[in-house]
Amino acid sequence: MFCPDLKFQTGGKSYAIKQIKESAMTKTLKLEDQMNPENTLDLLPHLPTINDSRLASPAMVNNGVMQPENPSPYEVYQRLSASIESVMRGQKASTRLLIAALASGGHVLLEDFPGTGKTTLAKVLARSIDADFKRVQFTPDLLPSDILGVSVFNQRDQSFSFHRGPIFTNVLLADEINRASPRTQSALLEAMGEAQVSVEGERRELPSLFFVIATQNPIEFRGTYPLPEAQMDRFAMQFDLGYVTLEHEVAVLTAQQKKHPVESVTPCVNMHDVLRLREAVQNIRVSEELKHYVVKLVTATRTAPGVLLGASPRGSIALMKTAQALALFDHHEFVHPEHIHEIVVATLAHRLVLEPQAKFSGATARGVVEEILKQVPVPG
Amino acid sequence: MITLFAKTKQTTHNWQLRPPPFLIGAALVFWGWQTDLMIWALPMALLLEAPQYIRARWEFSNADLNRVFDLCVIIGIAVAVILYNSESQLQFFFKWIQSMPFFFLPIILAQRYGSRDKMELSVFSWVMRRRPDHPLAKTSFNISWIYFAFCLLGASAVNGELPWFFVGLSALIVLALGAVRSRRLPLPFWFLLVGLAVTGGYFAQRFMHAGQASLEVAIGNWLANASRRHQVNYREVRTAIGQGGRMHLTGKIVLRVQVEPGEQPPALLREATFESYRRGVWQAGDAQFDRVFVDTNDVALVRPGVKPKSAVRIAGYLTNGKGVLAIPSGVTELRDFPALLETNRLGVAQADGGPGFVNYLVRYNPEMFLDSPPTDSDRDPDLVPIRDRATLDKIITELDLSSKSMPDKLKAIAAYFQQNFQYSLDSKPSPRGQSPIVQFLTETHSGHCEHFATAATLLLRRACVPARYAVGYAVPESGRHGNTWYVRERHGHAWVMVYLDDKKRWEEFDPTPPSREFIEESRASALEGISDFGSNLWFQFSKWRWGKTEFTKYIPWFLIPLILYMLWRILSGKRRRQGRDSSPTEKEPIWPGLDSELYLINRHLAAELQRRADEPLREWQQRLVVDPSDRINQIFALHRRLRFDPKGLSPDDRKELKTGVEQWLAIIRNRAGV
Repeated sequence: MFCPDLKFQTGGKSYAIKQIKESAMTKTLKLEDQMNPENTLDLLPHLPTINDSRLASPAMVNNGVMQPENPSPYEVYQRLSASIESVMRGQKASTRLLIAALASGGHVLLEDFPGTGKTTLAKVLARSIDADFKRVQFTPDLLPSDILGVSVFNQRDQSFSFHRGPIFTNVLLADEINRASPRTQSALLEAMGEAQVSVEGERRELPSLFFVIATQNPIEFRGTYPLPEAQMDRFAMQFDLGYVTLEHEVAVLTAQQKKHPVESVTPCVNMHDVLRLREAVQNIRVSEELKHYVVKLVTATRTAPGVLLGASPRGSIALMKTAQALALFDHHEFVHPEHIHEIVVATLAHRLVLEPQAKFSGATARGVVEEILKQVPVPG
Repeated sequence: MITLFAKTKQTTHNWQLRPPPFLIGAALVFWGWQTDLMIWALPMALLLEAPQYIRARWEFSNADLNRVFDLCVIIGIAVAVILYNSESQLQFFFKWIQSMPFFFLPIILAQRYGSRDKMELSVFSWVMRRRPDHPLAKTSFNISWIYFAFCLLGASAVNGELPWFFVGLSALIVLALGAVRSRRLPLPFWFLLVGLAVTGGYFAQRFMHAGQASLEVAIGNWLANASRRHQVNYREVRTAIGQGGRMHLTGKIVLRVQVEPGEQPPALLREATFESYRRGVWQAGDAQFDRVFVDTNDVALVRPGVKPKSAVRIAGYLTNGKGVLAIPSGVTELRDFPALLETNRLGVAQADGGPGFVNYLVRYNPEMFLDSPPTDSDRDPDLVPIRDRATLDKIITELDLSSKSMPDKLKAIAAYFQQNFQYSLDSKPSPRGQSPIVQFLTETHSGHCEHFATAATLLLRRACVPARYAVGYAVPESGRHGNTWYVRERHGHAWVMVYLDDKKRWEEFDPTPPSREFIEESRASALEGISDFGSNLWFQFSKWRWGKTEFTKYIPWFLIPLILYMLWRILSGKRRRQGRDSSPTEKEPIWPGLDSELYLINRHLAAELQRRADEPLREWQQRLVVDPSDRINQIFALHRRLRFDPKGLSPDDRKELKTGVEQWLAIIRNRAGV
């Protein structure tokens, strides 16, 4: 029998699970009830209904607490950034990248050691947005239906009713994604690429804000299935959190002495704000020269020595869009070459497949991209 | 550039690599003394040593140095071409070596007057220039030492007074070594060691000098053999009779024989004639040569007063300008022959002091031979080797030669060989104790032209007919190309000269069966066409090179425009090369804002402050501007908007950017002035 929360219990972080379980269940039901495709905004095709209580600004929800309504997109970024940084100490750069992926409509793959805060990062983001959050722990026996959902025969009504899987959410944490079989990994392909799923021949749209944060552990090779290239290509960026400085780690200890700071995070923006942020990012100007620069960088990965498979045009798009987001975060109206520089390793390196000889001789995808950055002249 | 400087400073010590002051100048003076070019050497030495007192230095980029080295190469090639046309071949190479300090002068000047102490290896290699990632391309070194070596090499190429050369050379080398000597050893000990080395070197070079002399002779002989057909020795010729094996002769074109349309060339071109035979060796007796008068029009009248009947033009090579000519018998005069000519009583014509290639017209009368009347050795039957006599006598009785008239004798012998013998380039070695001629006549019945000619000569002599053995070339009908006949190395031939007592003249008699030509041509290589093509090209070049002596004088006048054109190519090469590097399919468009005034600042900055190609604007800005409140930051912001904002700048902002940059430039200039 389908149980969407079953996989949650396999994770080691039990203190959070109960809470997520409860909120996720109730929120999923609410979302289902209130999704009304006919009643959408003209501006944003997949925008949820206006009368969704969570679409109202936090000021309304909090009964007039001093939170200005309709914050500017830059303010949305600042609030999100501040909120995440209050929990994620010393991860300013990662926070910036994460919000850039969110604001440009991409998905994120985190590759890092256990316990560096991948899940916390995802959770604090979800809590800050006042959005729906679900976590799926990927295991070898996980099936596509465990993620997408399944139709169950209702004996009372003598009909089939569809039970939505955990993918119908706003923020999805796909934990240890490389532990599932390629078949299950591929269940995410359509969802991540086109924001929809096809189950039993029926197309079902995902919520307008659909953001996947997947994690994988680099050191565990046993019992893992490396993500196929097509799946890797769907992630706008891959980066790691890394270990923070001693100072920051001490600060983390202090903050968690009594309770987890995630619990005290309250929504600072609503989904509407996030969607407006995305719209604002799209309006950031990109000069033709920088578009050429982006394409030159991406094509250089295809001809670089030791590279079997270079980055795709999807990589160029992700690079440009995230650079637009970074320009907005810097309060600029147009993209600078530095924004492209900042994001190019995170958006391109994971798309490259190196030749086995190059790998043995110590080449890394990251090194290849950094070398390309040095070789292609940067407009200035 | 910047990283390069840093690297070289870290890894090497300058005192080790820079030669001591005045060493190069001294080496140049030494070179000028030895080569008698002191007029050039002194100014060159002054020019090279002057930078010690001049502080100004030129800033050469790598591209500039590349061009300077290209200039050196062009001068070197030009000098080689001029020398090749004005000097003999051996002298040409030594003269060229001598001139090396002269044509490497631009590059050493560039180093001496340049701001850099060293040059990258890529300056000297066209391969590395194209591949900047080559592992050795960035290796840099001081070329003064190499120039020093060139000076010594140039001085050594003069075959001058040996002791003084050795003293000078030793002094210079001791000076050079003393500058870089290890401080570990005390000075007197060092001098002792150097003295030992110099003394040892002196005796070693004397020994080597003797060795070199003999080696040069050997190499000269080898080159003469390898490059052209082996010169005929008119004193004696060792035949291949009795040696066995196969005759290996190449299809290389030795002579080109040309006649007027409709006429036939002589069938045989004689080189030498021999009188006595002994154990496979034909020898000539007294071979005193008489000089033939060659007039200023290059006409050599060999036999004035004899009227020529035919004419043929012969073109061939003369090794070192001398050699035995292959000419038709009965030669009366040679035209267009720019060499000394000698002839002897055996009809041998020898050239000396001529060019490497001759193309002359031979007029001849086939009935009036140059050769002297026969002597006793030509006709005495008792001078035929004893072991051959019985066999020869048997054939004479068999053919009944003694009763026949002279023409019939020759016919009978020719018919005898043609019917009973086979032409073959393969032969068996003769067993010990048996005469190869007897073996040829009685057993094998097969052989090549030397067998036939030797046997026929001996047969005729035994039959009391005066006869001599002649070698040279047959002009084959198969070698005909229009009016020109190609005579190849494999057409080398041997035949008999017979004296007709009644007519008092010599006649050529070829006893070899006519199948010879067919067998020889079947041996021709399938690739002969290719080698002929190369040979013809060389022939045309030789004709041009040696053709008119006046012409070579004008070569420099042709070379000067050529050199000027190449110089222009090199100087304008930069633009062209850049155009080629960016492939035409992906031509970089002209982006907005490339006319930004900020680039002016970049041009005025020191090399290490300029923006690198891979450096984003912000990093450069951070390098340049320490104070965030500086006005320059506004200039950068405006520049950014101009470059990367699709909306561009308003006219006012554009003006502000311009004025801002101008103010900044003024500040930079002021600081530089201070």
